[in-house]
Amino acid sequence: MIKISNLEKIYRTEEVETVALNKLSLEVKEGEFVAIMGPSGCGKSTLLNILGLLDDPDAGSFLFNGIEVAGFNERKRADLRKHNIGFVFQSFNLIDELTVYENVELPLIYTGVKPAERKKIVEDVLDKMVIMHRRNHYPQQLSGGQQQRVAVARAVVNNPKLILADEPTGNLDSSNGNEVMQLLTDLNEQGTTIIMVTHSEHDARYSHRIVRMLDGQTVMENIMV
Amino acid sequence: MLFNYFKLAYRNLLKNRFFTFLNITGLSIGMAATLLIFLWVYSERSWDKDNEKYDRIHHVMVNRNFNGEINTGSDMMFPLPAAAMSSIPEVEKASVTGFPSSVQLTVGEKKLNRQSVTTTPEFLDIFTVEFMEGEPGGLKDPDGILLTESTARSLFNRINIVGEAVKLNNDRTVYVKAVVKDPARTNTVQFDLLQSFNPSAQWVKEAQSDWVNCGNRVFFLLREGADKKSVEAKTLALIKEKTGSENPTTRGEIILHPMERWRLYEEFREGINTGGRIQYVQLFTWIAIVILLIACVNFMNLSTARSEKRAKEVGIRKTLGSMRNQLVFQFIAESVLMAIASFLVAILIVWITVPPFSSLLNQPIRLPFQDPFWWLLGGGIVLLTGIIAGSYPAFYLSGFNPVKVLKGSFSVGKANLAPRKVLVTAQFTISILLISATLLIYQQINFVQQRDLGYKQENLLMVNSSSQLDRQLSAFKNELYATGWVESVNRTGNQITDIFGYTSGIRMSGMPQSDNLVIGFMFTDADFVKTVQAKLLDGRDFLASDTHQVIFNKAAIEVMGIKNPVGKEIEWAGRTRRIVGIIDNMVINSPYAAPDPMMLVQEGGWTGRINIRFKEGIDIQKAVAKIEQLHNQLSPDYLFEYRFIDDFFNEKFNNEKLVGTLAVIFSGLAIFVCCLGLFGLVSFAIERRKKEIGIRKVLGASVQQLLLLLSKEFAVLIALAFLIAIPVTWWMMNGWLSNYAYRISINPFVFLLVAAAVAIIAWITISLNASRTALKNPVTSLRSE
Repeated sequence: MIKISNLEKIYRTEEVETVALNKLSLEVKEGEFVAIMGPSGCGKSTLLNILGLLDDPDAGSFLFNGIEVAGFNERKRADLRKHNIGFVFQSFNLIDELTVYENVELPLIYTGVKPAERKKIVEDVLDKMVIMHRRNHYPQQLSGGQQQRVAVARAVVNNPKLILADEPTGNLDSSNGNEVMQLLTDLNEQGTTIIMVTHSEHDARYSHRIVRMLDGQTVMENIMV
Repeated sequence: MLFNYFKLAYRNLLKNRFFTFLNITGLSIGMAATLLIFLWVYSERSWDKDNEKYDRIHHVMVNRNFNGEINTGSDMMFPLPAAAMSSIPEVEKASVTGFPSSVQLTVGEKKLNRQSVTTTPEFLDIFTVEFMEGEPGGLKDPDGILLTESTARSLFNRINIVGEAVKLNNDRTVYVKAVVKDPARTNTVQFDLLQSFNPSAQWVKEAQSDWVNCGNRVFFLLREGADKKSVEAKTLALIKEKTGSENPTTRGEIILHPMERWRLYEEFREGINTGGRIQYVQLFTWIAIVILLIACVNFMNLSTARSEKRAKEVGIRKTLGSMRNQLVFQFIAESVLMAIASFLVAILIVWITVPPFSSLLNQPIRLPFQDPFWWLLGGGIVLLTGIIAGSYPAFYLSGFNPVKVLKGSFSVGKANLAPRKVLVTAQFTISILLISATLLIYQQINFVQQRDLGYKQENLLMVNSSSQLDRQLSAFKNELYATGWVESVNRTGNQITDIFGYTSGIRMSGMPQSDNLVIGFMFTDADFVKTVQAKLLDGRDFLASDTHQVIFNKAAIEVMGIKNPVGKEIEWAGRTRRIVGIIDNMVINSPYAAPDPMMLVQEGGWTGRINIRFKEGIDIQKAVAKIEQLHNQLSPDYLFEYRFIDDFFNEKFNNEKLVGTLAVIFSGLAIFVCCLGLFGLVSFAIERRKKEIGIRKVLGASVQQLLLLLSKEFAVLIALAFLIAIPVTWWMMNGWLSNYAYRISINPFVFLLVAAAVAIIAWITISLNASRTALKNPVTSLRSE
């Protein structure tokens, strides 16, 4: 599904040049659950941003479902992103002014799904995530675990092929964290590819494979059994 | 999608109440100002449009050429209309029409003074006059008059009065031929009654063939598609042919001033129709737009100042696949919603302020709610405001990089603050400009009001005379003096605040006549200098025993170039007249202009005004009551009409006073809206620097030091605004002042005063806000971090 080779990303300021990704290569097959680990500043998040088509690599190749996307413009990237990728963030990133229902509905609006159809899809997802009873609440009225469930619901509502999770349990206590990890595992079992950046060895154990990074490169891979 | 945008916009506005309040207040004030001005413009532009033949009616005017000096006149020769109709095919109808004059109408015991216009029957073919009773043919009868509805009701308490007799000026009996609707207040040609020229009057008989003297207006109704230029040329050719000899009119040119320009383009300079009221209308249209723009800038500034709060939302939306244009649209929808809310408030403000605004402008301003154009205009203002105000924030906010935003590493760089600083500076530049200009307008008005007029206006009463009172004049004077309240009495042909007659026919005895010498003249009699308290420079005042003597003012003597004039003789109007005195110049027509050369002529045989100089310190009310009583005894057939000369003269400042008042209102609004914006910006700056302020306080900064810190960045911008505003104001106001011969020179102190005022207002705005934070316990702000 994903094949990146010799990917480079360099951040430059007037005085400093920081190499975030250094000729990194990685392949992720459809249906895989991959955890990316490594110390702070090793390039995990940069990699995730590029995989999520939020950022552009400076050099290298990025094949998404066999299509070279490294040179895509903003419009093409957004188009590909909204149809194929769902995001889960550490800090949930829900829009405070929207209700639970509206937050989950948002990706469907951007993909142009008709209102009647949207309603059905959103309700289905909220049901699955056991958050239906909170549909009219605003994010700040929910607990952290509930907020992350909403964020996961939003990530899956478009039925994406890929979910990118950036430390999805980082802001949660262990029981809520486990719940979220279980949700991701369930989704993976239903066929969704998951790439997750995490600091937690515990969470990483939910994955099929752990990719360890250092200084913008992969240094080790562990296959989980 | 659209619904979603509006829903979110609504919640955002509701959530950020402070931001919404500042913006709606600013925008609604800006919109209300714009709407009020547009209503005024709408009303000004609707003048004369009641006339069905609006686009074909022209006032025939003339640029008289006095050896190069061009003077535009609105008076023409009596026989022109008849001759034009028969010899210029493009002229469908033409009418000679007198200037309005006050006449006394008497029906039984009832007496009224009303404005009469004397005209020819073609008047009714040219102007739209709505008949309520009677037929248009009435003006063909020299003894027929047409009354307006209100005049008819005042005289008869009814309008079915065709055939009723009315006495005009206690002289002629005329008969009502028709009652017509009152001319709309938005008509230039106003009248209470129309009468036809009396063909048996000697002057009318003479005027029929007089192609030199002008004293009446002439209106042309041109045929459809007629070429104005060609008619002007043909009219001039006709006048030349009929006049035979050369004079300033035949040397000049004819102007057909179209009805659509009567109201707003009434001013002529050097023979060119330069504008007039339109300049004020345009000026205030711009000012209103500027206020609205200032409010839009507030929205831009406050929106971008809040950007850190909105950044997360932008990041999420982009991550979820939103295109930038969708975000732009969303933010614009938000500002349009704000504009709609502001428009509703603005309508309320307009609705409340229209009556005082109407009375300020002294013209009816209607709220044209039934007119779809009005709603279209309103919709246009809302949309335009929404788009202008929302565009910059929309592009700015939608441009955020989602990676940075969501990572939390997003911060507003210094470069991003630059546009906001430019906008704040621009706002204050405009406000400072408006305030300085307002001050200068007031200085100019004050300066002119305190001008030495060459005579004393206070305690000078003018009473309208009549033939009856004229016959009893000495008795009237004696009675007046007997009251002990009156210092001096004199008569003039017209009110001394205006010169109505100009002549080019004066020549020194034994010298050839030069018709380039244009001198104003006024008929008067004994004690003129004493009564008006003019300054006698040489010679003496008129005596009761004088006949045909003249007094000149200094300006007249200068243009005539006479040395030692007193005792010399001039020829004028078929007589030799001796110069008995020279007075200092009197400011008569325009208080802003250089005084006109003037000749006072001691001459009998006319009825005019009686000027009464009161002694200092008397009870004026009692004196006027006594004079009324004397008047009514001696002139029982005529109404007692009086005015104080200073009141009369002060009306000449009406235009400038109006401009001054409007300038105060609108510059006040501008600075208010500016300060709203500043208040908001300071709030957000404090919000952003909360932690910094907390740390500084912990480290020992005093409240004053913190205030200074927070004021500094805005103080620099306001100072910069001054540097820009001063030369611009200087340049603009010098241009305005150059319209006046008698004017102030701009005193730099004005700018210092404005600087101090704006600095204080801005500082109060900043301190009100900043002191709350500066006084707060730093622990609160640090803990929240």
